[in-house]
Amino acid sequence: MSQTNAAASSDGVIALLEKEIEDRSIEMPLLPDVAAEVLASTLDDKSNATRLADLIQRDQSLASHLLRIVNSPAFRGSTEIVALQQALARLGMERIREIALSVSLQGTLFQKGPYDEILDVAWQHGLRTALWSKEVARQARKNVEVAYLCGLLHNVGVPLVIGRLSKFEATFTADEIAKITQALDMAAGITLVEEWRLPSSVAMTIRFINDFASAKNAQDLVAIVAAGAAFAQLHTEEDFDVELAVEELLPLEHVQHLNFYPDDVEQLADRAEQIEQTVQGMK
Amino acid sequence: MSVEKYDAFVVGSGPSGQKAAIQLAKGGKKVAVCEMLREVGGACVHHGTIPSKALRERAIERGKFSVRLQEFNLGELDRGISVAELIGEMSEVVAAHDRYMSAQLTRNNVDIIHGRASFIDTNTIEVLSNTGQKRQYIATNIIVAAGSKPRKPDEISVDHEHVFDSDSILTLAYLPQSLVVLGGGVIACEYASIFSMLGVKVTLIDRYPSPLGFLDHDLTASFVESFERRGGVFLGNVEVTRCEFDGVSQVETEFSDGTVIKSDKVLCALGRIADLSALQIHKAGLALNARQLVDVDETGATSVPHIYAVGDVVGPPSLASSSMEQGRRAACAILNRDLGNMGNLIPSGIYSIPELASVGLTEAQARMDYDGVVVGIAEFKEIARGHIANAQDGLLKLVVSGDGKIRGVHVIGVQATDLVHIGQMAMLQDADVSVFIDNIFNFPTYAESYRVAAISAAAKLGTEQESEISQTA
Repeated sequence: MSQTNAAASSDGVIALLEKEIEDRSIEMPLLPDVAAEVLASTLDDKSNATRLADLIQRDQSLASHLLRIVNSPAFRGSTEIVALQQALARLGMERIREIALSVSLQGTLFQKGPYDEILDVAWQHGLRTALWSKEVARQARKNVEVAYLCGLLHNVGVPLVIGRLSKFEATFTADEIAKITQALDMAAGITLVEEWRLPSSVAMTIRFINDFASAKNAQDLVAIVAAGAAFAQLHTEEDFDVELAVEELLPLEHVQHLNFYPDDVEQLADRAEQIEQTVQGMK
Repeated sequence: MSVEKYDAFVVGSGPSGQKAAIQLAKGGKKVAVCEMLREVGGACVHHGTIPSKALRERAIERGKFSVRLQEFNLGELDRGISVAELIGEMSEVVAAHDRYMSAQLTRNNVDIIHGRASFIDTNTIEVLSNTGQKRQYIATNIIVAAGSKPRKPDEISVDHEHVFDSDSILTLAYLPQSLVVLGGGVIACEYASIFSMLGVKVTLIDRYPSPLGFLDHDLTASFVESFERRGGVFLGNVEVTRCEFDGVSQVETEFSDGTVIKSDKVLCALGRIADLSALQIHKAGLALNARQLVDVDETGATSVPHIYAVGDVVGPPSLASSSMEQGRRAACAILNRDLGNMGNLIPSGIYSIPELASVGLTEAQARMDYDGVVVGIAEFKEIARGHIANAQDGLLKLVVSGDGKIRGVHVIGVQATDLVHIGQMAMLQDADVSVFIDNIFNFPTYAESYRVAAISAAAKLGTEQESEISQTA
């Protein structure tokens, strides 16, 4: 697609993409079959391990990618995992679902292009948020099942917008991309998850992540993911500073909603290393 | 550090703490309530009474609607719904409750302090705010109303993903196909019957022969019958030795005889323990008993004379109604006021499906305490109102001593938790069972069952009332 230089100014691009998002003409990737079925089975009480293994094995690339991940230090036990059923038995269906979902979405949305580095940062932030959200939910003694999915997809609008930007002839600076994605990621994300017919909790999370109090009966879930994103933001590959987390995270409205005290943050910080290992394992 | 002084410092703003604080404030004391959550009201508001009752109402509605769908051959209700969606808009309910409670406390000049309390010594409390600030308070009297948290036995790994406790069960993402409920108390029976009504295959497992052992046997038998008629299974006399996720898709629950049953999810509702981990009660000279609760006398006084404990921290019945009364008793003790008669007749209400309620003595207890005990039972299906509503469940049982006095009232079925109050009022007036025979209730109502049960009891007593009735019936 060719665009004029005038349209490629960040304000012009925002206006153009806003319209594309509004009338849903923005190019949206199809939800991968495996991800669709994994998501369906997540919410389907009749799902079973054999069906999940069948689903994954239909996609050779996904199956081999998944086996590589489960053999990474974050997941691997004393013996090498050589078969999907073995992975299921070792890690459980929920973990395998999460990995399969993450890998298939990564392949769909975070494809190679001119903005790889920015996409990689967004992907890692989504993944860290997913993992932190689960731990935050557990610490708050709330159900952890949906937290991962909502955390993973809370910034799904970013790759969609960046994917669209990569189709422009003009290139954008990091600041311009930040400005454009900031303006559009919510609308783009909501449009995408609605197009993909994902659970309404995902769209609620994207819509209200910066205003959890308006999320009506999804307040707890959105507060969990918002807190997960805040933990992820402080979590670099090298370090998770507990004192900084206590100082910066506890005053946040969504963290207060979860009624966290300093010792809650300290207990969560103990899980930072495991989370980072998982992120690295899934690269 | 500045230290503020109070006549009474109440730790916890649930039903017991709130009632105690207001009673003390009305008695002229300078009072503070410390609440670790953002809103006042305690677990009653966030994890207990309000959300679980909201879920119960939706379950009953869906149950009725589901029956109608089947009658018209219109398929089944969507089971992919989350528990949060079923409960509906709770945030506004919680906010409204917070506003109401806070206003009531403030109106009575009770200071509300948000933070986590811990004892420094027998009269000093330090409060840590959730942003890390600390402040100390000195109080002449301290009431520990800190509430409870679910008990987690070592053999059960609660992960809030496959195995839930009674707090996290309300955040289930979808209705599972099957659910094992561990426990036979109020919470276990409430959730077991609610999820069963929602179409989940529920197995209720308890180590005792029947659930709700503190209730009259006829009520528990009727509850189990109703639960099993709806598709639930009750397994009594079972010792659970292991309960954990199988690593793939099911939770395995193993019994002491080696039997293993599998389910999609498990709810561990094996009681609640005092939530005192942060309070450091040892610094005030207090200790927990073997059941992880605080020992108190009938006024709530602990082993330390000016420190009282009320509500869930002292253990069963752990109902909002009994907790309020415990709060009132502690306040009366501090104010040197007479407790009055009311405190001896606290009704129990269990919001299972069907609901159960009780006041006074069970039949077994009455037979130990009184001579000539008789019972009168009215089944709802024999009452006109029950006919109209096609009531399959429900009975009202009067326990009457040989002198004609009502010693206990036990109800299961629609409106049980309201109906029991009629009997409670009669008992508070020390009324004879004839009070229900000589007076007229609206027709058709479930309250009529009082008259039917009273006639039955009177017949067994062989009183004059019975012969008069037999002439007119």
